[in-house]
Amino acid sequence: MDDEFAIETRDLTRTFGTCKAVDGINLCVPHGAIYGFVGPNGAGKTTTIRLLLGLLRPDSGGIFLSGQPLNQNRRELMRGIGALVETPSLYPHLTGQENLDLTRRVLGLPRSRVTDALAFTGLTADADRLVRVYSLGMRQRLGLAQAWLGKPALMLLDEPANGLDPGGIRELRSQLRQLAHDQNATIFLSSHVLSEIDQVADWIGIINHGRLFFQGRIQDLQREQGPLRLVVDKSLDAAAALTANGWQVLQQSDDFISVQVASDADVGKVNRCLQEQEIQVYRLERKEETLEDLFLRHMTN
Amino acid sequence: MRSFYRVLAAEVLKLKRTLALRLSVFSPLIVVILVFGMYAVRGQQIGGADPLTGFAQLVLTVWTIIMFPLFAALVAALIAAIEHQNETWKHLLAFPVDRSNVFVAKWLTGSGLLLLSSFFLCTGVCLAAEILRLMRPDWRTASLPIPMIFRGTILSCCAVGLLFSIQMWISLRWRSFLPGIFVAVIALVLMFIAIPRGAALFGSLFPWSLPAMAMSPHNVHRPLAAGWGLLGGVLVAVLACWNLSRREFS
Repeated sequence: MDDEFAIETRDLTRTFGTCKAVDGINLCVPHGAIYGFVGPNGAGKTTTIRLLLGLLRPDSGGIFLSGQPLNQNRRELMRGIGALVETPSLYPHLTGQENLDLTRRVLGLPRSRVTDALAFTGLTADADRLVRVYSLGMRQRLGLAQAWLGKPALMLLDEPANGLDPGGIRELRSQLRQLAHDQNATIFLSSHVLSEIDQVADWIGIINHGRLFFQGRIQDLQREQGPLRLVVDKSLDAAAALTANGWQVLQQSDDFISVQVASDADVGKVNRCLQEQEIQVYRLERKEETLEDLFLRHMTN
Repeated sequence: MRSFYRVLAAEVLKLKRTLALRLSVFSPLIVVILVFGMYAVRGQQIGGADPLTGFAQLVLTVWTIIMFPLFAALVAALIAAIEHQNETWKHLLAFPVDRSNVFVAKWLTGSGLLLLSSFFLCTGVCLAAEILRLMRPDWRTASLPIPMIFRGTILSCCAVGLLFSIQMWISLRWRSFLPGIFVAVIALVLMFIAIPRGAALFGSLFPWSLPAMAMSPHNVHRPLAAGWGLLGGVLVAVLACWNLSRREFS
């Protein structure tokens, strides 16, 4: 397996009863990337993260972290991973500092790391308070501190912005960017909040019903053309001409049609096709799609 | 081995401020205080020729027949509940250590609490006996059977191993508090109903009666009860760790 990828899966499948939670997905997460793993609730995001951490065993397929198979090197590979899966794993009867100290003890790290992690997540002032009295946002930040404690090369974060206020979300974004760019950490970030992914991730994977629908750079996704809207004089003839030439007409009204195109070259071809049919094209416009539009389009397709 | 010590250190830290740790101190002291109260109020009638031996014997009997087995079941349930209730398995089992280390460390911290409670029992008995001696001038010359107390406590500590391992396995295996406590209560009821007087051999093999059988100076199968409890406990613990470390905690 290629070790250019921090995470690589091959036909990863996991079933619960009759439900395929993860259905043959092939993830490729490059080193140093912030990879946004998006999908609606129940799409298979958390199951994928649990599989990547070795908490669940796959029914079939392989998981490779930095080119090494997880099932043969779990212990070694876990040394370089920090994770936050769903809700943070905290002990409410211990203080924030004690919770981090617990992780520090298991990882065999110096005490200074606890202080660093508390400072990194802005929890120094609350370090001696019991986690029982922490707010949801503080718990989330402590969970992030726990994941970051060992300064891992790969962080698997499942919905890390849960419970954070807008200020906290902005802070989280800057922390994630800092981790990815200053420490060259790879961040695998699962979320169903698209705006969160849009603003921080440079790679994206879209999952639904356990299947990976899209994977690549966010720019590649945005480069995928949205529908082309044409204002024409004879929309009925225009739709017929384009359909006859193999284009997919998405919408048609009295004065405009919208056509699915794959590239900029297609825009010219569509225009030429209509001119050959002597149909006047008054306006050609392509809608700029947000990540949300792209996501919903992929889900609908 | 170093990674195991690190996991053990983390497990010890987890006990801070827990009910399990508090119970390790208070459970034996409650038994001592109850029996002490009886002797302080009605010592003249129940003291007999050797009152302090009787006092120590009664404390150990109450402790090993009912309190110690229940306490062991409760400790097992409380230790497992720390992870179950806080949903921390996912964090714990993703650590770069062998999973069996995590479970062995849990067994050892639980066993540590059982030893701690036994220590408080012995200390409590000795202190209470001294107070009784001060309270009753006619008992000043009575001797406290320290070797008997320590031998009984140590043997019952060995004997509790099997039931503790079974309880730990159940408590770690099932998320709910109920199966562990249910098994403990049913087993104790069975012990009282099904083990008739004189069935010392069966009593020395039934896990929940082992502490009492190992403590009793009159039981001829005393070494069997202690040995079976200890070895059976280790065997069940090994099997349970093997089983649990292969399970998926989702």
